[in-house]
Amino acid sequence: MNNITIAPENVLQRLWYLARRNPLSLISLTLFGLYVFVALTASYWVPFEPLKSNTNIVLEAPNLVHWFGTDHLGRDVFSRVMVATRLDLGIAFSAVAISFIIGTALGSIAAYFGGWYERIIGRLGDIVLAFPLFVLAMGIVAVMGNSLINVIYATAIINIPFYIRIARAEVSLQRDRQYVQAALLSGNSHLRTLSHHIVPNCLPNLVVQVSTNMGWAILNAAGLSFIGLGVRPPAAEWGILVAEGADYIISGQWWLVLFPGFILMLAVFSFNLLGDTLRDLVDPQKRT
Amino acid sequence: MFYDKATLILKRLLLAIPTLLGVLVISFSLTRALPGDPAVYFAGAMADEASIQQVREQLGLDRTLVYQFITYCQNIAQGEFGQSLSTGQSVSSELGARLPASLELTLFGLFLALAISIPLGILSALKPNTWIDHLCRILVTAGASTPIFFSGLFLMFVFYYLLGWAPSPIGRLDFIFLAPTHVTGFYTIDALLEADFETFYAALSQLILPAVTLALCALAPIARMIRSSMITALDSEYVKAAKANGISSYVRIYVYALQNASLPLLTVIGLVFGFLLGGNVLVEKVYSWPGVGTFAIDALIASDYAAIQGFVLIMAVLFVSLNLFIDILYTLFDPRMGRNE
Repeated sequence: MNNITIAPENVLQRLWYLARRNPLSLISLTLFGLYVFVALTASYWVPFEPLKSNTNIVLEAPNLVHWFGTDHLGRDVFSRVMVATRLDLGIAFSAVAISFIIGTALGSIAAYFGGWYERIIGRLGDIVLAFPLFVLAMGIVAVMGNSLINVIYATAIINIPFYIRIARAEVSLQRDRQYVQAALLSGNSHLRTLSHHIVPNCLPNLVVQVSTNMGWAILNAAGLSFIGLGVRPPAAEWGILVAEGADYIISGQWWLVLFPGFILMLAVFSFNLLGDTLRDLVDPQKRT
Repeated sequence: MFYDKATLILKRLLLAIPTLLGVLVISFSLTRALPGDPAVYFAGAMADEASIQQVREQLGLDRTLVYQFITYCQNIAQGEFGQSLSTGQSVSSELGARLPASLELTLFGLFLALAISIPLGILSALKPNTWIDHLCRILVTAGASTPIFFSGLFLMFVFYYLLGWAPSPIGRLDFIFLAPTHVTGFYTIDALLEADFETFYAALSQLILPAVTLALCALAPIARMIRSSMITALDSEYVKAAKANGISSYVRIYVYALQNASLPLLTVIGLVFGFLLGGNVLVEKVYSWPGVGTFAIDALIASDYAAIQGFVLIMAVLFVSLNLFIDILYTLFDPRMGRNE
């Protein structure tokens, strides 16, 4: 069998190897770890209450007490940006998880069973992709109702076609392998063979897509909340923080936009880089 | 050969029909997915029982879904998108009046993106895996990772507040200028047609920052595509043959290789156009650009469903037709197409 799988104990070693060879991989892994850490713990160590306003310190520029300055209500921007990490990563993670599960299921069914399944699922994916995706997300949130959960659903829906596409390509490569025959002959049903034998072999490439998609989902959700969909003030979320600061930028209060915007950009950047790193890990030959 | 291409184009046109139908179905079901009675939503918060009943009959909501869908398609075919609640005008006239502003911005953004990323891509391809290549890659990846509303505000801060180079971000034209006579709806082109260079300059200076913002997020896919297809082209037999025949490197790179590398460019333009139409909404919001995006955001806040539905549909139809147009160009330009049929 020429199926190359990476033994579990080797994954960390390989990541470390990649990190030493390519500084960008090291940066992406470090940043990813940092973001996850902040998302999990920020509410315990931020210096100020993120929602507490203080009219004595309105619109202060960054200083030693308020590292990222304060906003128009005297709230500490640093605390708000840090606390927002959990919400932003949470939205992106839930959305990507939904599209991963649905998209992989649909794509692998399409490739494995072929025929009408393939035609209908392929068409559905194409129709979603016929829309400018951000516009479709706006439409979905507008009609389903302006709420956080609907932003997650909308972000999930517009990402599903990408998973369908990858799962379909991967499964159709695996479908005719001998281990599939073996699994079927030893009495597994088609669905079980698909879900327990074929899909696990397609996971590596899907995981690469998950990472790239995370960045995209964060951008999408932040864009939606920037135009007033989903998360509502006073909740701290990167898109809203930038939107709130937007009114002050032409009068020179740059810190309200710069810090949340930069943290958001860095998150997307690190997820994109992480995608490249994982691609190197999964498929060392297909380096871009 | 000619007939083969004609058949291919005809096939492609036919293939667009199910896609358009799917787009219509989704746009139709968007509003039928509303919880409760769609008539109440379409008639608006201030409507009385009579006007709700009128909307119900107009939309055929008391009939079967299939009938409603056919009515919907008939209305769309007649350019009838319903009434906008927030402005009281018909949605089609609202969108029609704002579409040129958005298109001018999107197309100019696309043009800038091409003008910046093609040289970057060629540069990377000529010196792959050098520091120039890495720098280009970091630049374009950073562009793709930057939220478009953030880069817009950042550019505005630097070029309007700090440097004072850009005019105040208040739309397409400063108050002191009159809009040029409507010919194409693109202020820059209309001003040029009237030979009114002052207005042209004013319109262009308003346009440039939002267009650069849009272009930034579209750099990455184009530059990457040009880089990889240029590397393939430069490595191919015909470029080597040209070199052996003593043809200058300038002609080899910019005529032989670039010509062949530019076909995949068409495909990626189709893809990027989708980003740009979405990004447009955010850029319009940041720069108070009076286009369809701003209209849609206002409609979202006012729960103006007919307007949102019309906006989503128009954007999708634009995107589908651009991709159709690109596929047809592809068929016409690629000499390999239609040969194996």
